[in-house]
Amino acid sequence: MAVADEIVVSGSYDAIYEFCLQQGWTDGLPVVPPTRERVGAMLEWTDRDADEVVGSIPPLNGHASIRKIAANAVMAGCRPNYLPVVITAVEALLDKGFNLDAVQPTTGPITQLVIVNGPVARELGINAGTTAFGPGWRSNATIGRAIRLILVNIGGAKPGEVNQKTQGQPGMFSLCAAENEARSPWEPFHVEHGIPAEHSAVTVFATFPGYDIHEGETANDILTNLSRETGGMTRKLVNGGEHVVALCPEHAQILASAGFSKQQVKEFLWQHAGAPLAHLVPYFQRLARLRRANVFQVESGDDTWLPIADRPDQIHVIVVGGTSRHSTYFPCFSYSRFASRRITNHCGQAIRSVKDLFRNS
Amino acid sequence: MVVCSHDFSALARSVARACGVDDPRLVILPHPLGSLPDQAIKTIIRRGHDEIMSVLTGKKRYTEVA
Repeated sequence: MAVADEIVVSGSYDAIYEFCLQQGWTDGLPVVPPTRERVGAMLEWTDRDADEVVGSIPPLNGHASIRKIAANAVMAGCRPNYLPVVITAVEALLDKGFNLDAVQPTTGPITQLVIVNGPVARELGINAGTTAFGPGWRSNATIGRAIRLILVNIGGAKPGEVNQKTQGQPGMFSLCAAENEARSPWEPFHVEHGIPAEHSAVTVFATFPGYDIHEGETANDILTNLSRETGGMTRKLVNGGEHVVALCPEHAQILASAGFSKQQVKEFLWQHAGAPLAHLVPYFQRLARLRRANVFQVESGDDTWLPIADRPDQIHVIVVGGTSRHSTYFPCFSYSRFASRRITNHCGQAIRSVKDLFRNS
Repeated sequence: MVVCSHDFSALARSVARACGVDDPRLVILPHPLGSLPDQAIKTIIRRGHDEIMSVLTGKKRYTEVA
Protein backbone atom coordinates (compact mmCIF):
# COMPACT_ATOMS: atom_id res chain seq x y z
CA MET A 1 0.00 0.00 0.00
CA ALA A 2 1.35 3.43 -0.93
CA VAL A 3 1.98 6.04 1.73
CA ALA A 4 -1.07 8.24 2.25
CA ASP A 5 -2.16 11.00 4.61
CA GLU A 6 -5.53 9.41 5.08
CA ILE A 7 -6.95 6.04 4.17
CA VAL A 8 -10.69 5.70 3.70
CA VAL A 9 -12.13 2.36 4.67
CA SER A 10 -15.84 1.82 4.70
CA GLY A 11 -17.76 -1.06 6.12
CA SER A 12 -18.53 -2.65 9.43
CA TYR A 13 -16.17 -2.67 12.41
CA ASP A 14 -15.38 -6.28 11.49
CA ALA A 15 -14.46 -5.21 7.96
CA ILE A 16 -12.14 -2.51 9.32
CA TYR A 17 -10.53 -5.03 11.68
CA GLU A 18 -9.96 -7.43 8.77
CA PHE A 19 -8.50 -4.61 6.69
CA CYS A 20 -6.05 -3.66 9.46
CA LEU A 21 -5.12 -7.33 9.89
CA GLN A 22 -4.39 -7.69 6.19
CA GLN A 23 -2.16 -4.60 6.27
CA GLY A 24 -0.23 -6.03 9.22
CA TRP A 25 -1.19 -3.11 11.45
CA THR A 26 -2.35 -5.12 14.46
CA ASP A 27 -0.92 -7.51 17.01
CA GLY A 28 -3.63 -9.97 16.02
CA LEU A 29 -6.18 -8.38 18.35
CA PRO A 30 -8.82 -5.87 17.19
CA VAL A 31 -7.64 -2.27 17.06
CA VAL A 32 -9.58 0.93 17.60
CA PRO A 33 -9.92 2.60 14.19
CA PRO A 34 -7.71 5.71 14.19
CA THR A 35 -10.32 8.06 12.77
CA ARG A 36 -9.57 11.72 12.25
CA GLU A 37 -11.73 12.57 15.26
CA ARG A 38 -10.04 10.09 17.59
CA VAL A 39 -6.54 11.06 16.55
CA GLY A 40 -7.52 14.71 16.91
CA ALA A 41 -8.77 14.11 20.43
CA MET A 42 -5.53 12.30 21.26
CA LEU A 43 -3.42 15.18 19.88
CA GLU A 44 -5.10 17.62 22.26
CA TRP A 45 -3.01 16.07 25.02
CA THR A 46 0.37 17.23 23.75
CA ASP A 47 1.79 20.72 23.23
CA ARG A 48 4.01 19.43 20.42
CA ASP A 49 3.29 19.94 16.75
CA ALA A 50 1.57 16.94 15.19
CA ASP A 51 4.09 16.83 12.36
CA GLU A 52 7.12 16.95 14.64
CA VAL A 53 9.21 13.82 14.14
CA VAL A 54 10.45 12.35 17.42
CA GLY A 55 12.87 10.10 15.58
CA SER A 56 13.27 7.22 13.13
CA ILE A 57 12.23 3.81 14.39
CA PRO A 58 14.55 1.03 13.25
CA PRO A 59 15.01 -1.24 11.50
CA LEU A 60 13.01 0.24 8.62
CA ASN A 61 13.52 3.80 9.91
CA GLY A 62 9.90 4.91 9.77
CA HIS A 63 9.48 8.49 10.96
CA ALA A 64 7.69 8.57 14.31
CA SER A 65 5.76 11.81 14.06
CA ILE A 66 3.60 12.92 16.97
CA ARG A 67 0.58 12.26 14.73
CA LYS A 68 1.64 8.67 13.96
CA ILE A 69 2.37 8.02 17.61
CA ALA A 70 -1.09 9.34 18.44
CA ALA A 71 -2.71 7.16 15.76
CA ASN A 72 -1.06 4.04 17.19
CA ALA A 73 -2.08 5.08 20.70
CA VAL A 74 -5.70 5.29 19.46
CA MET A 75 -5.38 1.85 17.84
CA ALA A 76 -4.06 0.41 21.08
CA GLY A 77 -7.07 1.71 22.99
CA CYS A 78 -5.29 4.47 24.94
CA ARG A 79 -7.23 7.26 26.58
CA PRO A 80 -6.12 10.57 25.03
CA ASN A 81 -4.39 11.70 28.24
CA TYR A 82 -2.02 8.71 28.02
CA LEU A 83 -0.33 10.28 24.98
CA PRO A 84 2.43 12.11 26.93
CA VAL A 85 3.54 8.78 28.44
CA VAL A 86 3.54 7.06 25.03
CA ILE A 87 5.56 9.88 23.44
CA THR A 88 8.07 9.80 26.30
CA ALA A 89 8.40 6.02 25.98
CA VAL A 90 9.20 6.40 22.27
CA GLU A 91 11.89 8.95 23.12
CA ALA A 92 13.40 6.52 25.61
CA LEU A 93 13.31 3.67 23.06
CA LEU A 94 15.30 5.81 20.64
CA ASP A 95 18.14 6.27 23.12
CA LYS A 96 21.28 4.97 21.42
CA GLY A 97 22.14 2.79 24.38
CA PHE A 98 18.79 1.03 24.20
CA ASN A 99 19.92 -0.17 20.78
CA LEU A 100 16.55 -0.61 19.12
CA ASP A 101 18.42 -1.54 15.92
CA ALA A 102 19.37 -4.82 17.59
CA VAL A 103 16.30 -5.24 19.80
CA GLN A 104 13.80 -5.16 16.94
CA PRO A 105 15.13 -7.92 14.63
CA THR A 106 16.82 -10.18 17.18
CA THR A 107 15.70 -13.80 17.29
CA GLY A 108 15.59 -13.71 21.09
CA PRO A 109 12.16 -13.30 22.77
CA ILE A 110 12.70 -9.68 23.76
CA THR A 111 10.03 -7.16 24.58
CA GLN A 112 9.94 -3.68 26.06
CA LEU A 113 9.22 -3.50 29.78
CA VAL A 114 7.83 0.01 30.35
CA ILE A 115 7.94 1.36 33.92
CA VAL A 116 6.35 4.69 34.81
CA ASN A 117 7.34 6.68 37.90
CA GLY A 118 6.10 9.86 39.49
CA PRO A 119 2.84 11.77 39.85
CA VAL A 120 1.69 11.10 36.28
CA ALA A 121 1.65 7.36 36.97
CA ARG A 122 -0.82 7.94 39.80
CA GLU A 123 -2.77 10.56 37.86
CA LEU A 124 -3.36 8.14 34.97
CA GLY A 125 -4.12 5.20 37.25
CA ILE A 126 -1.24 3.08 35.94
CA ASN A 127 -1.39 0.00 38.13
CA ALA A 128 1.59 -0.62 40.39
CA GLY A 129 -0.05 -3.22 42.62
CA THR A 130 -1.82 -6.54 42.25
CA THR A 131 -1.52 -7.98 38.73
CA ALA A 132 0.47 -4.93 37.60
CA PHE A 133 2.19 -7.03 34.91
CA GLY A 134 -1.05 -8.71 33.96
CA PRO A 135 -4.47 -7.76 32.60
CA GLY A 136 -7.23 -5.59 34.01
CA TRP A 137 -6.02 -2.00 33.82
CA ARG A 138 -6.63 0.03 30.68
CA SER A 139 -3.55 2.21 31.24
CA ASN A 140 -1.13 -0.67 31.67
CA ALA A 141 -2.60 -2.70 28.82
CA THR A 142 -2.91 0.07 26.26
CA ILE A 143 0.26 2.08 26.91
CA GLY A 144 2.35 -1.08 26.59
CA ARG A 145 0.35 -2.09 23.52
CA ALA A 146 0.78 1.34 21.90
CA ILE A 147 4.56 0.95 22.18
CA ARG A 148 4.41 -2.45 20.51
CA LEU A 149 2.17 -1.22 17.69
CA ILE A 150 4.52 1.72 17.10
CA LEU A 151 7.48 -0.62 16.79
CA VAL A 152 5.58 -2.69 14.21
CA ASN A 153 3.68 -0.03 12.30
CA ILE A 154 6.35 2.67 12.24
CA GLY A 155 9.51 0.62 12.79
CA GLY A 156 8.41 -2.13 10.43
CA ALA A 157 9.01 -5.04 12.80
CA LYS A 158 6.30 -7.25 11.41
CA PRO A 159 6.47 -10.84 12.70
CA GLY A 160 7.98 -13.32 10.29
CA GLU A 161 9.53 -10.69 8.07
CA VAL A 162 11.63 -8.11 9.87
CA ASN A 163 10.76 -9.48 13.32
CA GLN A 164 12.48 -12.85 13.41
CA LYS A 165 11.96 -13.76 17.05
CA THR A 166 12.01 -17.54 17.10
CA GLN A 167 9.04 -17.90 19.45
CA GLY A 168 8.35 -14.43 20.80
CA GLN A 169 6.71 -13.99 24.19
CA PRO A 170 3.37 -12.82 25.63
CA GLY A 171 4.98 -9.56 26.76
CA MET A 172 5.11 -8.60 23.10
CA PHE A 173 1.42 -7.71 23.37
CA SER A 174 2.03 -5.31 26.26
CA LEU A 175 4.26 -5.05 29.33
CA CYS A 176 3.80 -1.83 31.27
CA ALA A 177 3.38 -0.98 34.94
CA ALA A 178 4.03 1.77 37.42
CA GLU A 179 6.52 1.30 40.23
CA ASN A 180 4.79 0.83 43.58
CA GLU A 181 6.37 3.90 45.14
CA ALA A 182 3.84 3.95 47.99
CA ARG A 183 4.90 0.51 49.20
CA SER A 184 8.58 0.71 48.40
CA PRO A 185 10.95 1.18 51.37
CA TRP A 186 13.49 2.83 49.08
CA GLU A 187 13.73 5.78 46.73
CA PRO A 188 11.81 5.36 43.46
CA PHE A 189 13.73 4.18 40.40
CA HIS A 190 13.68 7.58 38.71
CA VAL A 191 14.92 9.33 41.87
CA GLU A 192 17.73 6.77 42.14
CA HIS A 193 18.75 7.91 38.66
CA GLY A 194 18.77 11.60 39.36
CA ILE A 195 15.22 12.68 38.52
CA PRO A 196 13.38 14.65 41.21
CA ALA A 197 10.57 12.78 42.93
CA GLU A 198 8.01 15.37 41.88
CA HIS A 199 8.84 14.80 38.22
CA SER A 200 7.49 11.86 36.25
CA ALA A 201 9.52 9.52 34.09
CA VAL A 202 9.20 6.61 31.73
CA THR A 203 11.87 3.90 31.70
CA VAL A 204 12.24 1.15 29.12
CA PHE A 205 14.13 -2.12 29.46
CA ALA A 206 14.64 -4.75 26.75
CA THR A 207 13.73 -7.93 28.59
CA PHE A 208 13.29 -11.63 28.17
CA PRO A 209 10.25 -13.26 29.80
CA GLY A 210 10.06 -12.78 33.53
CA TYR A 211 10.70 -15.53 36.06
CA ASP A 212 8.88 -15.92 39.38
CA ILE A 213 10.98 -15.63 42.53
CA HIS A 214 8.75 -16.65 45.39
CA GLU A 215 8.46 -17.10 49.13
CA GLY A 216 11.28 -16.68 51.66
CA GLU A 217 10.95 -15.53 55.28
CA THR A 218 14.22 -13.70 55.87
CA ALA A 219 16.41 -11.37 53.86
CA ASN A 220 18.97 -14.16 53.56
CA ASP A 221 16.29 -16.56 52.23
CA ILE A 222 15.16 -14.07 49.61
CA LEU A 223 18.54 -12.84 48.40
CA THR A 224 20.26 -16.22 48.47
CA ASN A 225 17.35 -17.83 46.63
CA LEU A 226 17.33 -14.99 44.10
CA SER A 227 21.08 -15.40 43.61
CA ARG A 228 20.77 -19.14 43.04
CA GLU A 229 17.76 -18.88 40.73
CA THR A 230 19.41 -16.24 38.56
CA GLY A 231 22.95 -17.53 38.91
CA GLY A 232 22.17 -20.67 36.96
CA MET A 233 20.92 -18.87 33.87
CA THR A 234 23.18 -19.76 30.97
CA ARG A 235 22.10 -16.73 28.98
CA LYS A 236 23.33 -14.23 31.55
CA LEU A 237 26.44 -16.19 32.51
CA VAL A 238 27.49 -16.23 28.85
CA ASN A 239 26.44 -12.73 27.86
CA GLY A 240 26.34 -10.59 31.00
CA GLY A 241 24.40 -7.36 30.60
CA GLU A 242 21.61 -5.84 32.66
CA HIS A 243 18.93 -7.33 34.88
CA VAL A 244 15.62 -6.14 36.31
CA VAL A 245 14.60 -7.43 39.73
CA ALA A 246 10.97 -6.41 40.28
CA LEU A 247 10.57 -7.04 43.99
CA CYS A 248 7.09 -7.40 45.41
CA PRO A 249 6.43 -5.03 48.34
CA GLU A 250 6.66 -7.82 50.95
CA HIS A 251 10.07 -8.97 49.73
CA ALA A 252 11.27 -5.37 49.60
CA GLN A 253 10.04 -4.66 53.15
CA ILE A 254 11.75 -7.78 54.53
CA LEU A 255 15.03 -6.74 52.92
CA ALA A 256 14.76 -3.13 54.09
CA SER A 257 13.81 -4.19 57.63
CA ALA A 258 16.97 -6.31 57.73
CA GLY A 259 18.95 -3.18 56.93
CA PHE A 260 19.45 -3.63 53.18
CA SER A 261 19.45 -0.50 51.07
CA LYS A 262 18.67 -0.88 47.38
CA GLN A 263 22.39 -0.52 46.63
CA GLN A 264 23.21 -3.28 49.10
CA VAL A 265 20.68 -5.58 47.45
CA LYS A 266 22.40 -4.98 44.12
CA GLU A 267 25.84 -5.62 45.59
CA PHE A 268 24.69 -8.85 47.23
CA LEU A 269 23.31 -10.13 43.96
CA TRP A 270 26.40 -9.05 42.03
CA GLN A 271 28.62 -10.93 44.48
CA HIS A 272 26.52 -14.07 44.82
CA ALA A 273 24.55 -14.51 41.60
CA GLY A 274 26.73 -16.46 39.21
CA ALA A 275 28.41 -19.79 38.63
CA PRO A 276 31.86 -21.17 37.83
CA LEU A 277 32.70 -21.59 34.16
CA ALA A 278 32.56 -25.38 34.60
CA HIS A 279 28.79 -25.03 35.23
CA LEU A 280 28.39 -24.47 31.50
CA VAL A 281 28.62 -27.14 28.82
CA PRO A 282 31.65 -26.77 26.51
CA TYR A 283 29.70 -24.96 23.77
CA PHE A 284 28.64 -22.20 26.18
CA GLN A 285 32.04 -22.13 27.89
CA ARG A 286 33.50 -21.21 24.49
CA LEU A 287 30.94 -18.43 24.03
CA ALA A 288 31.49 -17.13 27.56
CA ARG A 289 35.24 -16.84 26.93
CA LEU A 290 34.53 -14.84 23.76
CA ARG A 291 31.75 -12.62 25.04
CA ARG A 292 32.92 -11.94 28.59
CA ALA A 293 36.61 -11.55 27.96
CA ASN A 294 36.83 -9.01 30.80
CA VAL A 295 35.93 -11.72 33.32
CA PHE A 296 38.87 -13.85 32.17
CA GLN A 297 41.53 -11.16 32.40
CA VAL A 298 42.88 -12.49 35.70
CA GLU A 299 41.74 -16.10 35.85
CA SER A 300 40.87 -18.40 32.99
CA GLY A 301 40.42 -21.87 34.49
CA ASP A 302 37.23 -23.91 34.69
CA ASP A 303 36.57 -22.55 38.17
CA THR A 304 36.59 -18.94 36.97
CA TRP A 305 33.58 -17.26 38.57
CA LEU A 306 31.07 -15.85 36.11
CA PRO A 307 28.86 -13.24 37.79
CA ILE A 308 25.58 -12.57 36.02
CA ALA A 309 26.49 -8.87 35.92
CA ASP A 310 29.83 -7.12 35.53
CA ARG A 311 28.87 -4.39 38.01
CA PRO A 312 26.19 -3.89 40.66
CA ASP A 313 24.77 -0.97 38.70
CA GLN A 314 23.74 -3.37 35.93
CA ILE A 315 21.18 -4.85 38.33
CA HIS A 316 18.06 -2.68 38.46
CA VAL A 317 15.76 -3.01 41.45
CA ILE A 318 12.16 -1.78 41.28
CA VAL A 319 9.18 -2.48 43.52
CA VAL A 320 5.98 -3.68 41.86
CA GLY A 321 3.01 -5.75 42.91
CA GLY A 322 0.47 -6.44 45.61
CA THR A 323 -0.07 -9.00 48.30
CA SER A 324 2.08 -12.06 48.95
CA ARG A 325 5.64 -12.97 48.06
CA HIS A 326 6.10 -13.24 44.36
CA SER A 327 8.77 -11.13 42.75
CA THR A 328 9.84 -11.27 39.11
CA TYR A 329 13.31 -11.46 37.65
CA PHE A 330 13.64 -10.16 34.09
CA PRO A 331 16.92 -10.94 32.35
CA CYS A 332 17.71 -8.12 29.91
CA PHE A 333 18.99 -8.31 26.36
CA SER A 334 22.74 -8.06 26.73
CA TYR A 335 23.19 -5.62 23.86
CA SER A 336 20.76 -3.04 25.23
CA ARG A 337 20.90 -0.62 28.15
CA PHE A 338 17.88 0.78 29.95
CA ALA A 339 16.76 4.30 29.09
CA SER A 340 14.75 6.79 31.13
CA ARG A 341 13.15 10.03 30.04
CA ARG A 342 11.27 12.64 32.03
CA ILE A 343 7.79 13.54 30.89
CA THR A 344 8.13 17.13 29.73
CA ASN A 345 6.49 19.85 27.67
CA HIS A 346 7.82 20.84 24.27
CA CYS A 347 10.42 23.10 25.94
CA GLY A 348 11.84 20.20 27.91
CA GLN A 349 10.37 21.34 31.23
CA ALA A 350 9.04 18.66 33.54
CA ILE A 351 5.28 18.64 33.95
CA ARG A 352 3.34 18.21 37.20
CA SER A 353 0.29 16.80 35.48
CA VAL A 354 -0.70 15.71 31.98
CA LYS A 355 -3.26 18.54 32.20
CA ASP A 356 -0.28 20.91 31.80
CA LEU A 357 -0.12 19.70 28.18
CA PHE A 358 -3.83 19.75 27.37
CA ARG A 359 -4.41 22.24 24.55
CA ASN A 360 -7.87 23.19 25.61
CA SER A 361 -7.11 23.80 29.28
CA MET B 1 27.25 -6.00 0.12
CA VAL B 2 25.15 -7.90 2.64
CA VAL B 3 26.12 -11.35 3.85
CA CYS B 4 23.41 -13.23 5.72
CA SER B 5 21.99 -16.69 6.20
CA HIS B 6 18.98 -17.71 4.15
CA ASP B 7 16.36 -17.15 6.88
CA PHE B 8 17.39 -13.51 7.23
CA SER B 9 17.40 -12.61 3.56
CA ALA B 10 13.91 -11.05 3.75
CA LEU B 11 15.07 -8.88 6.65
CA ALA B 12 18.17 -7.87 4.72
CA ARG B 13 16.13 -6.85 1.68
CA SER B 14 13.63 -4.91 3.83
CA VAL B 15 16.31 -2.95 5.67
CA ALA B 16 18.18 -2.24 2.43
CA ARG B 17 14.98 -0.94 0.84
CA ALA B 18 14.36 1.26 3.89
CA CYS B 19 17.85 2.70 3.39
CA GLY B 20 17.08 3.47 -0.25
CA VAL B 21 18.85 0.45 -1.77
CA ASP B 22 16.22 -1.44 -3.73
CA ASP B 23 18.59 -4.02 -5.19
CA PRO B 24 21.30 -4.78 -2.63
CA ARG B 25 24.22 -7.03 -3.43
CA LEU B 26 23.48 -10.17 -1.46
CA VAL B 27 25.45 -13.22 -0.43
CA ILE B 28 23.14 -15.85 1.05
CA LEU B 29 24.70 -18.52 3.23
CA PRO B 30 23.06 -21.70 4.55
CA HIS B 31 20.99 -21.45 7.73
CA PRO B 32 21.76 -21.85 10.58
CA LEU B 33 25.29 -20.52 11.01
CA GLY B 34 25.37 -19.57 14.66
CA SER B 35 25.53 -23.11 15.97
CA LEU B 36 28.24 -24.29 13.56
CA PRO B 37 31.81 -24.80 14.75
CA ASP B 38 34.37 -22.38 13.31
CA GLN B 39 35.81 -25.01 10.98
CA ALA B 40 32.42 -25.68 9.37
CA ILE B 41 31.91 -21.98 8.73
CA LYS B 42 35.36 -21.74 7.16
CA THR B 43 34.52 -24.70 4.91
CA ILE B 44 31.36 -22.95 3.68
CA ILE B 45 33.25 -19.75 2.99
CA ARG B 46 36.06 -21.53 1.14
CA ARG B 47 33.50 -23.38 -0.96
CA GLY B 48 31.76 -20.15 -1.89
CA HIS B 49 34.86 -17.96 -2.13
CA ASP B 50 34.72 -17.28 -5.86
CA GLU B 51 31.00 -16.54 -5.81
CA ILE B 52 31.38 -14.23 -2.79
CA MET B 53 34.19 -12.35 -4.51
CA SER B 54 32.04 -11.98 -7.64
CA VAL B 55 29.39 -10.18 -5.60
CA LEU B 56 31.95 -8.15 -3.66
CA THR B 57 33.57 -6.89 -6.86
CA GLY B 58 30.23 -6.17 -8.49
CA LYS B 59 30.44 -8.82 -11.18
CA LYS B 60 27.26 -10.33 -9.77
CA ARG B 61 24.56 -8.92 -7.53
CA TYR B 62 23.42 -12.11 -5.82
CA THR B 63 24.68 -15.54 -4.93
CA GLU B 64 23.66 -18.41 -2.71
CA VAL B 65 26.38 -20.54 -1.19
CA ALA B 66 25.29 -24.12 -0.54
